[in-house]
Amino acid sequence: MKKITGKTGYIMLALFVLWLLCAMVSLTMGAAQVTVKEVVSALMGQSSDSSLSTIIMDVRLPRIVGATVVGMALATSGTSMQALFRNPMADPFILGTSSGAALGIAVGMVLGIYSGMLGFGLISIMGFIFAIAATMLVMSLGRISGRMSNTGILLSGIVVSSFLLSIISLLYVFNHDKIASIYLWTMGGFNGVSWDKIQLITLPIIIGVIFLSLKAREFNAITLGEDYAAGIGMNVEGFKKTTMIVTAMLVAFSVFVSGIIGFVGIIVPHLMRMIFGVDHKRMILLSAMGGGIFLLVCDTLSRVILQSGEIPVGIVTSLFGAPFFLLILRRTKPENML
Amino acid sequence: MNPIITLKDLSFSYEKDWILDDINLSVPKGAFVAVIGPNGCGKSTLLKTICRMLLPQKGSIQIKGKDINQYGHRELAREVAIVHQHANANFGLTCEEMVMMGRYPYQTTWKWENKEDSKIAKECMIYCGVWEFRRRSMSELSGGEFQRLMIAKALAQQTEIVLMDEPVASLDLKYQIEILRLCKKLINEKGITIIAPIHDINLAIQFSDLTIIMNKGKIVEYGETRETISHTNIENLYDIKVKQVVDAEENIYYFPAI
Ligand SMILES: Nc1ncnc2c1ncn2[C@@H]1O[C@H](COP(=O)(O)OP(=O)(O)OP(=O)(O)O)[C@@H](O)[C@H]1O
Ligand SMILES: [Mg+2]
Repeated sequence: MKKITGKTGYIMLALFVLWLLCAMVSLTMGAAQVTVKEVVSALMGQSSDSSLSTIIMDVRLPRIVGATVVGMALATSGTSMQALFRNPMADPFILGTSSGAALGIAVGMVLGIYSGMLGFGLISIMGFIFAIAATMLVMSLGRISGRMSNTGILLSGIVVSSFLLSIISLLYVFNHDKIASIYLWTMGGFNGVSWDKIQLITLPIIIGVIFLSLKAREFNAITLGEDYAAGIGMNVEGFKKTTMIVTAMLVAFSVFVSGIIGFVGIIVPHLMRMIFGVDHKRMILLSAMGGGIFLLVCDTLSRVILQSGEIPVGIVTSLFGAPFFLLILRRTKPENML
Repeated sequence: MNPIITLKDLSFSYEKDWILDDINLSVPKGAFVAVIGPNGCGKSTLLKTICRMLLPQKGSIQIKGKDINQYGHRELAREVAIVHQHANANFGLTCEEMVMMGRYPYQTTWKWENKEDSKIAKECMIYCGVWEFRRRSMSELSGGEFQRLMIAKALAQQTEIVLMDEPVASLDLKYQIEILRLCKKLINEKGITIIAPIHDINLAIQFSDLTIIMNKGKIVEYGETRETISHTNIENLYDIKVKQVVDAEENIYYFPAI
């Protein structure tokens, strides 16, 4: 397939315009149909209808920002992990990072540290620590006779994820009173997300994405192999550690807001590579943009598809993602499998 | 003259056996050093310790009189470049981007490549005959073209020491000679030092100044190529019968006796 080779800046601009369009459309859609004109006047703070203005400013807008930021975080983590592990199927969900974060946060919820900015901060830190621990566990289990093996990592990722998710299930069983909220949260979704949470996660996620995009040269080098990267003067061990920490942070903040949302970290990077090529100098930022748009679209679908109620967005992304994942699995060249 | 590389009592093992066993070596600046020895005798491992990709359990390495562990990551990559024997070509980066990576040790987190870097990358690509591939994806090159690309990248690092693991193994006759001549030229013009495992003994004789003969992790002979690569040494090293041919210009060639 022919790759699009325009200037990264223009492509970014085009994607930003696409995102604006999606956001606009999303703001008008939902149980209450709103016209573009009404949306604009609400955004400008000039709406005469206060309930409409609340729907737009405090219900739909935080969701849109939340879905965008989380989509950015997940897609960027996926891109980084795929480069770091030289594995086209690595992503926060597969490598157990998401489930780890979810367990940390579920434990926090059960312990009841769940209110106010301090509680939010503490609970995200728990998610972060568990996310790192889970990823490291998968990495070490995935070593077959001392060497990192793609198949090994994939298999142990699946096992560790299921294991952690079943611990979360056990947590519900023993904490009936909190079941509903925890259950809904692990399904993955932005239903009822508030500005408080969005405020907490937006800045760290944007900083994380920028940090990773500044490491584009290192990602390119490490995709060629660790020996190669060391040969051109890269601090490989240091790079692996910081990247793991930053991605775990991105994932922990995402999971904190919207629970486990699978497949964004796989679909978006692959799509962007197919369209724009593999160079991380543009891939990191482009997949962040793509992730934001993708999750925004999925979230909008999740709340408008049904006449009443909504489907958790994690289910929408999985509906897209599972078939896509299988397609990748079939297309992957054998030399990249192990 | 001060040696540019000094190895003292160096031993290395991956798991339990010593793959490098008590190596002592000093390489003078500006030499073309060939390394010969059977498969698995530790040639690639030796190169990897000299660029600190592998950390030896015993002994020390000095580069330009300074202990290798005193160098920063980028600093070391400005002194030593390596062309690997096996490299992963399965990545759709363009050839120009690939060579540009050789400029990484001269950059920082904030300072990315500039015009100077592009100019140097271009020169190195022209040198190695890969400039015409600059927009092609590196995964679409033939084995020999890829090899030349990797050499261009190593040259872009502008180091005084270049370690080349089997630089001509997958090249056709023309490029075998071209690349080895290029090495000679770099040595003469820029005073760089090259260490290169070469399986082809006759090429090693023609091009190298010094030769290291390795066997089972030890250096068994080291000295002037003409003296080191001798009929008896070759026969002992590979444990085969070897035929010696001398041409009109008194160049010596060795062939396995079949
Ligand atoms: N990563 C590794 N882990 C364990 N053993 C290794 C590793 N790499 C190489 N070896 C072993 O170390 C020995 C030396 O390997 P090395 O690659 O240095 O040989 P070489 O002299 O370069 O051989 P060749 O001529 O085939 O390139 C071999 O016996 C090899 O099996
Ligand atoms: Mg070798």
